[in-house]
Parts: sequence; C-alpha cells; structure tokens
Amino acid sequence: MIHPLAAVRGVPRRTWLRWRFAYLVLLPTLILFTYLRVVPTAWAFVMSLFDWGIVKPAEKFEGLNNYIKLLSDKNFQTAFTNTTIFAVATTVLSVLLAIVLAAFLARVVRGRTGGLLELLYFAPVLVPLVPVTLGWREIFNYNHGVLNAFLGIFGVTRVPWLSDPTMALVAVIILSVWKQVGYNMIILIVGMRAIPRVYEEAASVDGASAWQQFRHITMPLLAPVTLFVIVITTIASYNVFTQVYVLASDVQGAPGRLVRVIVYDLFENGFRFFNMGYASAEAVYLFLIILVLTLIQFRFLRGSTAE
Amino acid sequence: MHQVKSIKLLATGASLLLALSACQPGTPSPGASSGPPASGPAATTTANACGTDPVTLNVWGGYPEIDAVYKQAGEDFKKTHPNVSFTVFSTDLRGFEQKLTTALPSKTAGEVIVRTTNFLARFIDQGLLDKLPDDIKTAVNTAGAYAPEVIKDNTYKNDLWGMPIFTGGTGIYYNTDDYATAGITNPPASLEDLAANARKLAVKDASGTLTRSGWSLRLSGQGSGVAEKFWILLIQKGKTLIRETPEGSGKWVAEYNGPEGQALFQMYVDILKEGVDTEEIDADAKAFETKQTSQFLRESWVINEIATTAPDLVGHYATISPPVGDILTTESMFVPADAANKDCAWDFIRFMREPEQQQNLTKVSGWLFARQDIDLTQFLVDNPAYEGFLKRPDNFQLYVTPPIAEFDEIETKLATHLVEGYADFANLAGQPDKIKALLDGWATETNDILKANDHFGG
Repeated sequence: MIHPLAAVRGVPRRTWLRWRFAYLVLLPTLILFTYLRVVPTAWAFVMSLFDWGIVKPAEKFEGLNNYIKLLSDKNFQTAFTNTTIFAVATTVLSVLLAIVLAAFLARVVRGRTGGLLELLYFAPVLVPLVPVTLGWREIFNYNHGVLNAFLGIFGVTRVPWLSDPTMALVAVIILSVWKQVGYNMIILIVGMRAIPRVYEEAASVDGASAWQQFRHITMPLLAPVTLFVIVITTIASYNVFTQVYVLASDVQGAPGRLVRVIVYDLFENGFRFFNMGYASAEAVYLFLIILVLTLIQFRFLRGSTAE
Repeated sequence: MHQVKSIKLLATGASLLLALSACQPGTPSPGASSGPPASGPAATTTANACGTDPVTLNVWGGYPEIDAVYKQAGEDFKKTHPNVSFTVFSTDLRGFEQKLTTALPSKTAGEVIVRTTNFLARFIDQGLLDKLPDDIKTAVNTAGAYAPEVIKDNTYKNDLWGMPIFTGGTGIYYNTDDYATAGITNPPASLEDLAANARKLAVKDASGTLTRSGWSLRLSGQGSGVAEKFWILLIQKGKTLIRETPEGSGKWVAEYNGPEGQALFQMYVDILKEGVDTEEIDADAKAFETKQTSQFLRESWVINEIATTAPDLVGHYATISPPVGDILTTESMFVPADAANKDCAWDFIRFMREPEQQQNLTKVSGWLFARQDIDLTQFLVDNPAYEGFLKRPDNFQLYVTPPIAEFDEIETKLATHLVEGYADFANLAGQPDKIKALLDGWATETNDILKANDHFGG
C-alpha cells in the first residue's frame, strides 16, 4: 500500500517552504474572494428558495417554486430572448471586428500611427458607460440624431432607433459592440504579437498567401486567446444592464423603449417589487446559463484547437 | 480542468448581479386655498431640540429639483440653530428608493427622509421609521390644515408617520398660440375636447411626417409612468386602475379593463394611427418646451422648468385642471427610528411646515406645497400658470395610491403592456374585440398579483 503522503515526503523542504509561503500570501485574497464572491453567490441560491421581501426577514420556504414560476413569467421569457439575441450578436460582431482590427494593427500598421489607432479604438473602453449611453441616445435620436443624418446621405429613410422594439435592441447592440471591440482588440493584438514571426515567414517561403498564413497559422495559434475573448464577451453580454436602463430612462423627453434583459428584470423584481427571493432565482438561472454556455464554448473551441 | 475551474469562478462572479380610494369630492386642491391666511394650531417647536453641539442633518429625497428648497430652508433654520449644518442628498426617484432599501435596514440613511407613506410602509412594518410626534400629528389633523385625501394618503395602520410636505397633482398644459392658430377658442373641458383639439393641432410637413404632435401622450419609458398617465385619463371617464371591492375591505380588483378602459385604449391607438402623436418625436415636457407638441399632462414642476429652459414660452401657454379628477400623491418627511439627532430632525420638519417655507417650496421647485390653509390669492396673481393645479372644478375627485405594497408592481407591469399595445396601434385601431381581449389578459395578471398578496376582492 502506498502512503498518501509518500509523494509529499519526496518534496524537498525548501520547496515546501516556498509552497507554504505562496499559500500564505494567497490566503488574504482567498478569504476576501470567499467573503465577497462565494458567500453572496451561495446566499443568493439559498434566498432563491424563499419568499424574501428584502426589507423583512425571509419567512416562507418556497422550495423550487420561484424557479417554476419564472419559467412561465412572460417578462423573464422576453428578457431571456432579448439577452440571448444581444449576447450572440454582440459577441460575434465585437470579436470578428476585433480580429480584423487586431490583424490590421499587429501586422500591417506599425509605429506611431499604429499606437495612435490602438489608442483610438481602445478609447471607448476607458469612458464610463452612463455618459457614453447618454451621448449615444442623442446619436440615435430619430429627428436630429447624427446616425439618421448620416444614413440619409445614402438615401436611407430615418430609422426609429429608440422607439421601434426591434431597432431598440439593434441600437443597444451597436452601442455595446462599439464599447467592447477595443477591449477585445487589445487582447488579440497581444496574442498575435506573441506568435513568432518565423512561422509566417516559413509559410511565405512556401508560397502561402497572406490570407492563407492568417487562416492556417495565425488563427489556430490565436485560438486560446480568442477563446478567452469570446468567454469574457459572452459573460459581459449576458450581464448587460446599464445601456438598456439609461437608454429608456428619459421620461421627459426623447422616447426610449425599454429593452428588457435578464439583469434589468431581476433588478426590477428585487429592488422595485421587493421580490428578492424571486430575483435570486433569476440570478441563479443567469448563472447557470452563463456557466453552460462557457462550458460549451470551452469544449467546442478547445476541441478545434486540439485538432 | 484547471481552465474549467477558472471559468466556473468567473461565471460565479458574474452571477452576483443581484442584484395608491379617495373619491371624496372637494373643490380646492390639496395645498390650495384662496381663503384666509394660515390658521389653526401650529406645531410647537421643542426648546433647543438641536442643543448647542455641532449637528449635521442629512436630508434625503428623490427629486433633485427640490434640493435648493431644502438648502435654503437649512440656511433659514440655521439663523435660530447656528450649530446645525445640512447636507442634501437626492437622486432620481427610483435610484433613491433603491438606496433607501439598503440604507434604512442598515441604519445608514439620512436623518430626514422625504418619500410617500405608501412606499415606506414596508419599512414602517419593520420598525425602521419613527411615528410623527404628537404636536405635529395634532397640527396635521387639524380640520382644514390639509385636504382629507392628503391625510388618507399619509395614514398607515391608523396612524401618521410622516409630515406632508408637497403633493404631485396633474395639470393639462396647452400652448395658447397653437390653440389660437387652430381656431380653438376654449381650453379643453373634457377628455373628448383634448382628443378633438389634438387632431386640429397636429402639424405635418410636406412628406406627411409629424413635426408637432397634437397631444403628447405618454407612450414609452421605463417604470410605471406610462400606466400612471393612462390612469389619470381613465379617471376622467370615472374609473380607476384597481378598485377596492367592497370599499373599506382591503380587497381590490382590476377595473381598467371595463368599457371605459377599452374606450380609452381605443382613443390612444386611434390617435397614433391618425398620426396625431408618434413615438418618433420628442415627448412630454421637452416636446412642449421645444414646441414639438401643443398639449400634454404633467405635474406643476414643468412650470419652473419652462421658466428656466424655455422662457420665450412664458405667457404663451396656460394650464387647466383635468375635468373630473386626478391622482394625489403626497411626499412626506420622515425620521428613521435609529437616526442620530432625532429631536433636531423633527424640529427641522416642524420648520418646513411653516407657511413661508411651504410657499417657498412651490416658488423654487414648482411642486405644490401640501398645506391647504395658506392664502393663495397673491400667489396666483404672481404665478397664473399654477391655476390648473390650484383651481379645481366642483366635485373634483382625488384618488390616492392604493395602500398595498404590490401596487407598484401592478402599475409597472401594466405600463410594460401598454407600451407594447401602443406600439401595435396599427393592428389594434378599430378592433374593439382585440382591445377587450388584450385588456382582459392584462387584468388577469393584475388580479393574479392581488391574489398572490391576498388582496384580491373579485
């Protein structure tokens, strides 16, 4: 029989001390992470099983009733549909655009111009979302918005960006892609620059075109970074809230149709209607959705990377 | 495996985003009197309630346009209480409510909280707010000091918890120049007048695009405002959103899906189909101030906003009361049970009840002061735009918010449905059966919410 600590016994004392030091250094962060992240998440799950009105103590155990009621809640269904459309569109568009921009800036444009363009594309990431959304609300304005004026040059009739149910969702997607693409681009640029040029040079010698080099060398080697960008963008997209809240918040002026998304719906249930148990169940659903999607992405993309 | 664990942690982090029947007739509006000056017992100021040590009173409210009122009142209060300083915090109403939701239970709220009794009822239930001191209660309950509806709106569990400070009544704003141009000689005297005038007032350009709406209806936006506007118009038809059945039972049933509600919704979609109003044009106060609409309904604060942002409009518009009735909401001043310097806070609240402070509130913010025993003769001479809010027709009916916690949920969900319904105007105009089915479906949801809260009386 092999003693469970046999392997450990073989570890030199100096290595042991280094490991212990590493864990000791990590301990405060782990405690903080557990207190701020793990405990509230677990608490949200516990509260989802109760009828909890936030101000008063949770009194009635509901079991899975909150989860069952949510499945037939039309607001939740609408929110789920809108959020999924938003997340898919935002992720696909922002990642594709980021890849194009990254390839352009990492491989084509160099020097100060490249740095300036990187800064320009990254700038939206640095600006707080609320003022940015207020600015975009003016851009989307039906009568005097810049976007409709621009489209008008090409003979496109004015688009009711903020009042039409479909176009309101499109407007949120446009705004969000604009905000996200710079972040994705920077990460992808770093990834591309980490790929040794020697592979492309070798392929070039073998007669591979620039597109063939990008398709068969750059993209496969960039897959782990692309996966990270897709996962991060998907998670951020499913948590969309500020844009829809601000775009529909002006009740005294320009019209703003509310695009109901999951976080807005749970926010409304929890903090407006004081159904915090119900909202917690919604949060758990959101968690599960993101978790499942992330696992699928991992399996799919890691599989293709292995190939 | 290690990466999957990392992603689980990331996903775990992402999951953390947890994140008003008073149908009593009354000619004068709450806060309105053109009679004798203020009389009746005044609330007595507790001697030296603020002591002599430095004291800071934090005043929290949900209407940033009233900040200046509290700040000025604070300066006036300091003349007799030099050791007291003030901070005023306000944000948009919904943000303020959310802040209260966490600040009151965690005992970190300001010493003076300004919000409705209806909203704060759940906090009263948890013992988080003090009762109104007896002297203020006596002053508020004195006959004629406040409209009966104000008292009713402020009563919870047969007691008064906050001191009424201002009210939110509705007026019809109409552009008198547009009325003259359209050949309309009288102000709107009925809902039918409003709709008929709207059709004459709408202006379209050569391409048929609406450039000035005849009536800026409330068609979109988040929260319950859309349903509130529908409710105010429904009152003009003698009905309400939910009615206590039988009266005094504490049990309620949806009423908006009756023939009057259906006719009102029909009016909305007809106006939209005729292109008298549209979602593709600025709306509400902003539209009125920029002359993109000729009439709309709103509270009195718009008068002050017009004076500031569209001074050229002053003298070219007028207000008139809704013909039949209105919603009455009263904002009151409360003191948290665990507040520091409670006596001083109540003393400041007594001060805010004085006629000078009450009138200053309206002059500075545009909101209507809550007392009705204040002489308004000179005020109306100086501020004629307030006539629509301070002169109400005979038998004017005021509806207060049903005193049930789930009413906001009912109103907000109805608002969501109304926005969807208005957007579908092309399919609903001239389709009474479809409209009836639609409203019946919404009413079922309303009644289900009432049932879930044990308040259904159908």
